Amino acid sequence: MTPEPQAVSATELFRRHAGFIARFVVRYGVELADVDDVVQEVFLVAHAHGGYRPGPAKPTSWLAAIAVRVASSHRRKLRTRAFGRGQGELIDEAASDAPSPEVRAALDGDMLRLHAALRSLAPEHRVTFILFELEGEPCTSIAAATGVPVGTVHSRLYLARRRLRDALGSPSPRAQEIQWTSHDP
Amino acid sequence: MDEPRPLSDDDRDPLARLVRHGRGLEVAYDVEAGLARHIAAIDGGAQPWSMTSGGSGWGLGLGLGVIAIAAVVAGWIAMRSPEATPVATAATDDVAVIDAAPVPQTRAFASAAIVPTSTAAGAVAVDEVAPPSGSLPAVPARGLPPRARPVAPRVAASAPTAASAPEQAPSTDDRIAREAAQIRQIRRDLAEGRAAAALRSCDAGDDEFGDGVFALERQGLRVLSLFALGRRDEAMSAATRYLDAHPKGPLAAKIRAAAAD
Repeated sequence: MTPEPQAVSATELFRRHAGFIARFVVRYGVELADVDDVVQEVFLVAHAHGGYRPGPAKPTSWLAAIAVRVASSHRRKLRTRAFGRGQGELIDEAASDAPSPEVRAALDGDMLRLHAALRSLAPEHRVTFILFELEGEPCTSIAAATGVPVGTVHSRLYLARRRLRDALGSPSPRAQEIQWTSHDP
Repeated sequence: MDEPRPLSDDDRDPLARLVRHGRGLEVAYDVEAGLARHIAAIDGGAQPWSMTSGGSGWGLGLGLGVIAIAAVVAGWIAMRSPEATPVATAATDDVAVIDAAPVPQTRAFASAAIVPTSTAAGAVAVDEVAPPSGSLPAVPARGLPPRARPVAPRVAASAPTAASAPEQAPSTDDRIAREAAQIRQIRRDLAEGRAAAALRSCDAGDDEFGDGVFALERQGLRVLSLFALGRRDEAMSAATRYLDAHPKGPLAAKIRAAAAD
């Protein structure tokens, strides 16, 4: 019987990966003012779970999957609070896909375009695209962390790319070639 | 099943260009302040998940706020290991409410900011985050300690002050707060051109805190201090050791930039 792998404590995870999680949640769409609270909750959840045990999911993928849940819960909480206060403007903003003024001020043109386009994706497509394309996490790790088969991760990645191209108005190079060929006399 | 290829570097693909650009995003998050807050939260009562239904693992006084966190945890209660259990798909609404107030330049907690690309690999930035107070606050109803109020830096060197009770071991919170304050002082010294003082504080920090929670940050700051002092040979070998051991360490980007200068 093989011994159970030793868990990595939440404190150690925080030291190693808090920066990663902060970047991930910003990419994911959490406002800068809320990043610290979300990061704290992510690692409290990790602590409550007893830390990370090595497995097919890398600790970064595992924490990112927690972060998605925390971010969703955080947003619902804020929307409920805004609704309770009758802050209609805040509710409208919360429902918007537009990046906040802070983010618009901090990001340059291309970075902002990507950020805005990512926010238009469904959460499961967004998390897959961010982890695979921007953070370099393997599909097997993403699959293990999000609890879906690897084939589903591949399919989400494909759909995320296609929808991002649609959102950005940029056809794939192959589509461009086809279009060019069809117009070629 | 074959791993898909990441988007190619084909310049004809506008999405690939955006992705290459997007990979360079840097978010400046104050890990030291955040870690101090995290440890205070854990020390203050957040326990590893141990209850099954009655909630005995949580203090009775933690209140509704903890319930909110527990609601997030609840989604994970069935999870025995990250590889074994599916995680429910995230909810569909996930964009946080925009904070109508402008972000102040000085933040008294672990702040996050997007680092403009032009400065991402630059010199050590002074974070104006105030150090946590000597006695970190107890866990409030919400389950997280409140963001620390700004206070004057307490400690920049190694020895405990005479006022501290020598016969009593400092609490974990005190120790972390002092270590965090010292790290801030080192960063401030470095940013303001006092590299020799920064290096002395690194030595003092090693003596006092050893393998403390900010040992890695101190190690990185030592490397940057050596570069700032022009002790390039020492700096390069220390940088190599740091980057070999911690290629994604908290100061890895800055160390690479300093080594490349």
